[in-house]
Amino acid sequence: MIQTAKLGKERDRRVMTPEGIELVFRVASPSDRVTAFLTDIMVLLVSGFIFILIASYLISFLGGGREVQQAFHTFSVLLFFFLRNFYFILLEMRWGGATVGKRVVGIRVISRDGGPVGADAIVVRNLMRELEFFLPIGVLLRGAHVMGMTGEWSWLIEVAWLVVFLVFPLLGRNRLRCGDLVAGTIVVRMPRAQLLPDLAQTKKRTRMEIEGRRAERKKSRYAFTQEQLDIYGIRELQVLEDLLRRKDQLADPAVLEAVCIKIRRKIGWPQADQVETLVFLDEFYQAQRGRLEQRMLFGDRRERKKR
Amino acid sequence: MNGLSGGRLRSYRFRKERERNWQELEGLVARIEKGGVGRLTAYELSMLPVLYRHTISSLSVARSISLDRNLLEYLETLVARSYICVYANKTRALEGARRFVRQTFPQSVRRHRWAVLTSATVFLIGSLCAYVGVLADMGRYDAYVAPSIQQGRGLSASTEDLREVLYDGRGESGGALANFASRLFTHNSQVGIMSFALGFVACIPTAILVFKNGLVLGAMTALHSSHGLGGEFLAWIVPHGVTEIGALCLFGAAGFVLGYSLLVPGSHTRLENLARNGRDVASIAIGGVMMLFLAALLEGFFRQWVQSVPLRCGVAFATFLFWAFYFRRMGRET
Repeated sequence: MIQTAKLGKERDRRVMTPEGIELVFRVASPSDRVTAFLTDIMVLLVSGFIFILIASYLISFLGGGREVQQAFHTFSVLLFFFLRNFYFILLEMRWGGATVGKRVVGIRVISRDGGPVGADAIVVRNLMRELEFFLPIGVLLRGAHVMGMTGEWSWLIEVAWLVVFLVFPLLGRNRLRCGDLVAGTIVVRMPRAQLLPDLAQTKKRTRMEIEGRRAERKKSRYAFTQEQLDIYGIRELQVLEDLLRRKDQLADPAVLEAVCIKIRRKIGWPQADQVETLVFLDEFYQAQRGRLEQRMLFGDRRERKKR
Repeated sequence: MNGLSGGRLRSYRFRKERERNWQELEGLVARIEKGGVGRLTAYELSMLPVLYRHTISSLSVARSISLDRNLLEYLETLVARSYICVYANKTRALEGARRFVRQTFPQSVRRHRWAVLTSATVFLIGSLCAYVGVLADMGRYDAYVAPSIQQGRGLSASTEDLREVLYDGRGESGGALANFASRLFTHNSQVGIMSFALGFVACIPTAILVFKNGLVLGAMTALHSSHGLGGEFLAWIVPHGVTEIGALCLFGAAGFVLGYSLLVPGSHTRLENLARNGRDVASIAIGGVMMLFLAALLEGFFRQWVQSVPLRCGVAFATFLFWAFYFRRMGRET
């Protein structure tokens, strides 16, 4: 079993890299996808608009002869064709599976089988947009018909078509649209995490503080017996880690106190003994982690505390 | 070191020893995410896979010895981020294009020759049906060729009108021709891409589209030959038609492959099979767009400039030979 792969949540996807290590990615949510897509559409529209502005300025500047207008028209037909069909393809190829919108939202295209994302996969996943987006949008905006169907009942088929492809990505737990299905890709959130200092590491201090700390340590070291350390498991350890990492932002500092008391009761620490809460928790964390890691090395993973 | 300080923890020492490498990798990955691999110097680029492997091995060690959750999460995400960078698509445009034209495209067409044959057959059946049908009853013409694409070549057109369409465009300027060609290209490509994508819906819409394209050709041929212009019409259409119809059949074939791999998955699961074949036929679709570009040049310029029937036929034959050679021979390993 892999440490952090809590696959209870539906939207995680395991990917086996070619190096043979399993990574867990968070599947991008439908709202991420829609936001990214709308952003891209905005980029397309705005760049088209800017082009038209520049071109019409140029035409009036050049005198607007028939030849100029024709050249402009030819150019714009080709430009819009390339924007429509190759904007997504070229950007995803250049930016490692992200378009402008995907970068803004923080999502990426990766391969479902763990290999590299090939140019072919990027091409095919984006050509399928024709089916999923441009065809329905043509039906909605221009009143065109799906495959030239005309007839009394054709609207029913058209509406069914739209609905099927709109809800398609919502059906599977991997949120694959048709293009992803065909290309063998999946869209995931870019993972983000920061490396925080190890709690088992003493912070950098001035010499004075170190001296003081040493004296203090000598005084207030808590020694735990093995029986005391065999009570809690990994889950509890990591809850404690979380708590200690957030100790400066806690809304109610009394929580630490309460946790400390609870631990002491559980491991049978003499109640009469006065302890310094933070130091006690710190040292307990270290001792507990050391013990659990040691057991883990001997193949004994202890997930939870004894009941 | 006393008994309970960090120094005793194996996981702590483990982290201390490797931390610097992780941070170096993180720096590289952050820069790649910002501006692509091109931002790195040659040295940094050569370090990327080394650091990546190193961090991967750190992750698998950490999974088995460390219980520091922040560390594990950090390593998981760092490896995931660098995985995305390392395994992203890195095809260079020019190099990729050359390999595509020389190998990928013709190889892929050969691999799917049965689909291409099917698609071409559907097209031929379509045009034969329309040809026979229209000759038997001219009234069917309008049903096969939508009025919007008849361009003055309807049932009511006289022989003179038809002849004029076949030989017009002599006086057009280059700008107008380019304009015409660009519209032809974009329209045909959009139809082609659509018939490819529609293959996803179990082949049927693709078959209908290819069949309908066949109908148009057959019906028009029938109309012209009923006016005694059949030969000249063919000479008008084949110079670009060989390339254009070929491309449309390829799009159809790519669509058929999609639908077929969904319907008949063989020993793979349906999804696997779809993904495998889908990526494979992507090159057919892109190649089809290229062919349509060439076809539009032929149709937009050549056909308007050259009015002689033998010359038109000669060019058509030449393009046919070219494509036959290209798809049969190009990119073979010998």
